[in-house]
Amino acid sequence: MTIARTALVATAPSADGTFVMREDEFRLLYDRTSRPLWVYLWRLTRDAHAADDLLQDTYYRFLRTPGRYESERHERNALYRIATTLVRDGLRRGHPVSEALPEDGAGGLAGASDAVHATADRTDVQRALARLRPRDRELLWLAYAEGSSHVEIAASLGLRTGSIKMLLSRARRRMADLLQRRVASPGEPGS
Amino acid sequence: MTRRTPGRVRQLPDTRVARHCNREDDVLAHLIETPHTPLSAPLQAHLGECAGCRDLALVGSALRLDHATALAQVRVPSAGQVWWRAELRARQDAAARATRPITVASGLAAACLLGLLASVAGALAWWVRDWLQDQPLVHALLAPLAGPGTWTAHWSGNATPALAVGALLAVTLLAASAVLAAWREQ
Repeated sequence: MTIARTALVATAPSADGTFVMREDEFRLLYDRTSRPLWVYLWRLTRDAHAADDLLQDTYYRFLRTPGRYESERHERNALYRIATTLVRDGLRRGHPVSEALPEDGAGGLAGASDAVHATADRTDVQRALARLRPRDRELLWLAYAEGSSHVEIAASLGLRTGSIKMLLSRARRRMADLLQRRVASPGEPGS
Repeated sequence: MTRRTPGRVRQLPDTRVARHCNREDDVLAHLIETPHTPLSAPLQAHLGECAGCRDLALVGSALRLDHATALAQVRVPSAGQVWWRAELRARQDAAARATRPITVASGLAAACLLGLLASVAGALAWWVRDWLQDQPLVHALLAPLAGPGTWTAHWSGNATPALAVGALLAVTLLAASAVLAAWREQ
């Protein structure tokens, strides 16, 4: 399957040559990657509408960028790389991230805010993530939420593989501190 | 013991965070592969002693839970919808690329036309001046307004260089505007 997909991606552009793959191939890729990618974008931007737009933009750029992918993981890493770049560009231009995390769940998942923000634990995670630096957020999410290897994280974030362990360790320490502080003082305002 | 500063994230010395425990991989494997089962007794005992693994368990389990819940709730657009939008955008991009040279050419053509008009106006100015000088009625009308020979001297002496410079400036400005407009569109 993987080898077949590689060949397809490399040799079967869309009928008019606009995209690097055909629609049926795209559907397979999309079904496999869109949901975790959307959650990743949402976690980085904390804005459901921005995540929607960035998801569309990510796939568009992927479809327009010629490339050979050795495996599905490789393909996925390329997608995450594009997504991360788009989020960083957005941050650099001053949007779309909002620093505040409202209690009522606004800015959560589209159409599912209440359910998603139902538990205090998850709110704590969101708040802790929101207070981290963007790169720490990216690292932690890919490593622990997605379960990516150091090589995959390096490929997705454009970092050296050798530096991932150290960066991850520091990011983890920072997040653990934030989570423990929330647990120690649950009534702390303005977190 | 380090005292924690309220409202700030405590920065630990690098020696602590840089140390890598050999059991981290076991903790991570448990979090990813069997997140719903309790930790084994030895691993649980290890967490009591190792701050790094404790952090890993805390952060890892929180993020795994958050990820799983979000993934169960998320609704993304259909593949067909995303593909259709991508096609639409590709067409728009192609159209923008195709019309860019036309926009530049239109701007340059407008600049050339204006330059031509300015040149014609400059040439006609001589003819108009000569014609006006031959009209006694005009002389009679303008004589009270200006000193003797003032306006005719001005026209005959400075008109050509002023018009040429004006035309050149107009052409330059319009060409620059056209290029800027094309660049913005891009």
